[in-house]
Amino acid sequence: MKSTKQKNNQWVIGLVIAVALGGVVLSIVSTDRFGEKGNGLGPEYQYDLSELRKTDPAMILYKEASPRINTGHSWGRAIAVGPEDQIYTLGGQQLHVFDSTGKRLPLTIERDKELTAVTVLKDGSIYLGVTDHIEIFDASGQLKSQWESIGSGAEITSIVVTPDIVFAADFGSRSVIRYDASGQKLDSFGDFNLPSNYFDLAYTSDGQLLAANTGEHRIETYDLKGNLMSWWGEFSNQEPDKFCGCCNPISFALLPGQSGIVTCEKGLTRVKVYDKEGRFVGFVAGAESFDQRDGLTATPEYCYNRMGLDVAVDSQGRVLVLEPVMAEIRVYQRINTDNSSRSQGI
Amino acid sequence: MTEFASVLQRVALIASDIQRFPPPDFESDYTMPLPATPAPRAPWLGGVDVIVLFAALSVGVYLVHKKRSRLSVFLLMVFSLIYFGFYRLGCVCAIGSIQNVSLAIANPSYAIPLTVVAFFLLPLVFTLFFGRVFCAGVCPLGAMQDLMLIKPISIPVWLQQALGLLAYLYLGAAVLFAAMGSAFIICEYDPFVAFFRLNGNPNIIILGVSLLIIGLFVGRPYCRFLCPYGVILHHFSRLSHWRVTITPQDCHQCQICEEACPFGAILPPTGEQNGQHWAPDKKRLIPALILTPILIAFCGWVFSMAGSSFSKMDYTVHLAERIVLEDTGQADGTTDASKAFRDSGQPGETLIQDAQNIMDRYVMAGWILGAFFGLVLSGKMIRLCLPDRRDDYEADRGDCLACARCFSYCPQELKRRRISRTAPVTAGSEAAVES
Amino acid sequence: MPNQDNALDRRDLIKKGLHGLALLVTGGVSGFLAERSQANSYHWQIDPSKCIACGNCATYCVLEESAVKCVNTYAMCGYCNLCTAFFEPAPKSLNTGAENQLCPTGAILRTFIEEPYYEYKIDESLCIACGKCVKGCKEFGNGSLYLQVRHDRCVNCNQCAIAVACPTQALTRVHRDQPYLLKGMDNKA
Repeated sequence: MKSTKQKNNQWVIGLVIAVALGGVVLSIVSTDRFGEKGNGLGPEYQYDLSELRKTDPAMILYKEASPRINTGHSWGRAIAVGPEDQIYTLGGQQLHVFDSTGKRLPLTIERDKELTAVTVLKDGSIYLGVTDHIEIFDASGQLKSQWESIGSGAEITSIVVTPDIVFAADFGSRSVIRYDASGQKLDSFGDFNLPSNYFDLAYTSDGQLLAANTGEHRIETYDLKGNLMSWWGEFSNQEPDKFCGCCNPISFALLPGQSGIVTCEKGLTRVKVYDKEGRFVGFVAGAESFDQRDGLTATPEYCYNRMGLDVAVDSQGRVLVLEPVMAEIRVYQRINTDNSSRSQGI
Repeated sequence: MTEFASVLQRVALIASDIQRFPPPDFESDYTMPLPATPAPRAPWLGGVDVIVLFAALSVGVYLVHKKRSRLSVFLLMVFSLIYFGFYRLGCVCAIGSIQNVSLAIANPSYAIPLTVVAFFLLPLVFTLFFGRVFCAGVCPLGAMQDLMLIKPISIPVWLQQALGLLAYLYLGAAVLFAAMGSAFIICEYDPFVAFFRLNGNPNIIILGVSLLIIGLFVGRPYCRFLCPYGVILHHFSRLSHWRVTITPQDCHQCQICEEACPFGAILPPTGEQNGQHWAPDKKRLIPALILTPILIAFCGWVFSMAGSSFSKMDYTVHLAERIVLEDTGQADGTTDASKAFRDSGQPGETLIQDAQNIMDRYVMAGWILGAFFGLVLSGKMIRLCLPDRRDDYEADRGDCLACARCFSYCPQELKRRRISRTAPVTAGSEAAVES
Repeated sequence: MPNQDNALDRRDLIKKGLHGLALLVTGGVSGFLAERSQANSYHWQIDPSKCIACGNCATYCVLEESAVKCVNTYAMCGYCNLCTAFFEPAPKSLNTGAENQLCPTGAILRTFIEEPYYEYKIDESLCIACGKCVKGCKEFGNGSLYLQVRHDRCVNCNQCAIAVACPTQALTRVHRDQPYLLKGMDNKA
């Protein structure tokens, strides 16, 4: 009796050890060493913008009209258009110039601080924001004038030149600085809500100054003395006709003949058109068209850099978008549905 | 795609000098806080750990060699389990320190912390003089298993010998992966650390529970068949200056102690007929010696063949493999790693080239690991040809974990201690014992 | 028999020799290690420039409550009213109701400073290091939120379990005198 009991015990022990050995092998073999099964957290812990990044195709009014232009910068910062539709781009400490077809022109300007804003006048003279001060060059690239620094911490993000007054948007002080034509600082105005270093200005042909108050999601209209006249714009991430995120639009440009405003946003990286009263017209490019870039920028390798698009419009109404990560210019042209249907009809 | 390639380098340049996000000028008296940065554990506490280790080892030596009391060793073991296990959460330990040492030797840019050096060396030095006292009462992993041992069964010698080879493999692999900078597998697959932390990867918990279940019947399975540090201690212990004895008295060959050892470390006397064959068994030794280089070369070749499989433990190789699988349509979707890699814009060719280089190094390392294992095998073989001579029951110097269990089983030892305990030590009483 | 004694003597001698050799080797190794060693200990830290906020930190840490938490470099923070790390991407309404908050555990504390600025602070006792807010801040904002190993919680495993499971190998060994890799700051301080 006793010996059979012992034998049974041995069997039980053997079985238990065998099962445990199986456990050892299984647990080692099935270990997810590299964490590829993911974090195992529920859906409430996942962050997903893919729905918000979808655009209704019917709202897209523009298409890319020509190959993208490589600016040659390591990082694109700002774009402007000259009197003959030349394209001026800033990246790092350099300014590059292209003709309207995208051919690089010989002119290059290099300074020892980051170039942060550019405006080109009808006579071809170039107003450059050199981080904390303005420099003026003639069309051939000769330095004509260097204005005083606003101070450390200043970052000139946009320049508007009117016959009498020059306006500089200073992100550092969150205000617009007024200069006379000779570069004497007159005063500054505005108490803008700018969470990140984007602050764009434009000058309308009827003599008003537009400024993007990004934290309020507004385009604001000022008179030349700096009095707020009117504003438009609202926040929404879901509604495409409004501005998304913490602070948008980050840049904007005027269409020829006061026919509207082109705006760029970050977060949901997209380019849209509004009419001059601020009514939404449609998309130049939806967030999907910057997919690859969004993937790229999703690595915080880019955390300290300006990821935002800049935009300019040439005399033919082409929308030139500077994509900073790839440092290339995308040229968008309006899809003229009326024309195409007519030509098909004939 | 070519522009993509340089994006990262460009970014690295820019990121360093553009760090300005001038914060708003607050009008109220708000002052901007700095992110809190609580400091790591004070360095002197690492010194305390080393002192505790030294003290525990010294106490262990006293308990095993002088006091010769299982209960005291048991209490020391419990203390170590609490201090190094549950209080220090199992890190850093002497077993894991093998990897830091390997990495420090292979990679000059890795400066090994002094605490880790102490944890690696102290048990070795103690073992060289006093046997595996560390295993007996200081190692928390050993303690964990020792506490679980309730119904020890004995395993056949051949199986014990064969399983013992696993530990050599584990040691070789651990050194290899650490030196290559790919992984610290001893830590990753540490079966008991999850118990110390009362949390951990489910797989590792299953591993630990399984080993503990085996440990209910098979004494200290990790220590005997897996522990890489145990391999080193085994050999150091064989050379130890003072050996752990079952009793300092004469052995009466009653066999009781052999039953007492749950680790199969007590060996019977070799007997007279072996004594006559004291010289090595030449018929077996010569072929064994001839076989040695062949075995080394063969194992080297086998392991070098497996080198590319080993290399899959390396992050870069693993990622490159995933990228290739995705590119050739053999894997669906992306992993976090492959997506992040693609998003970063780095060229796949560079990654694959890097991975190839690492794999080549692993093939080389496979030769070394294989040769090492071949050497271990032939060493075992040669030892089988060199008969031991034991007149008495003895604890195997290498295998003995100095747990002190056998002491109280030995009638001679009991006799010795009863006398020394009860009777005052006088010349008369000693003389009485002598007679 | 004298033959056997000789053999035993020889064995003893060999053993003594090996003992001495082992001592020498140990000494040599200690000398070598002493040269390569340092009193400074290593600690694990996340390099924010490599982190993709995948959320593995939340579940792969050996501690039940991960030693990784979100931190805010206030100097980079926009103090936004519409913080995209605080509010859901598609909030039902813009108030601080739990249903509008991005953080599933409600670990972000929003404090009004002055018009139009709000301070955002992480309640570390609630944060589980899922990285959701890190993404929210990065996608739209300045990226001032990011994940760091908190050394008052980290047990400093010899091999960090998160480091193994990190898809971008963002966890690196740092020295004790520079135990954090803070964004936008001179970490050598």
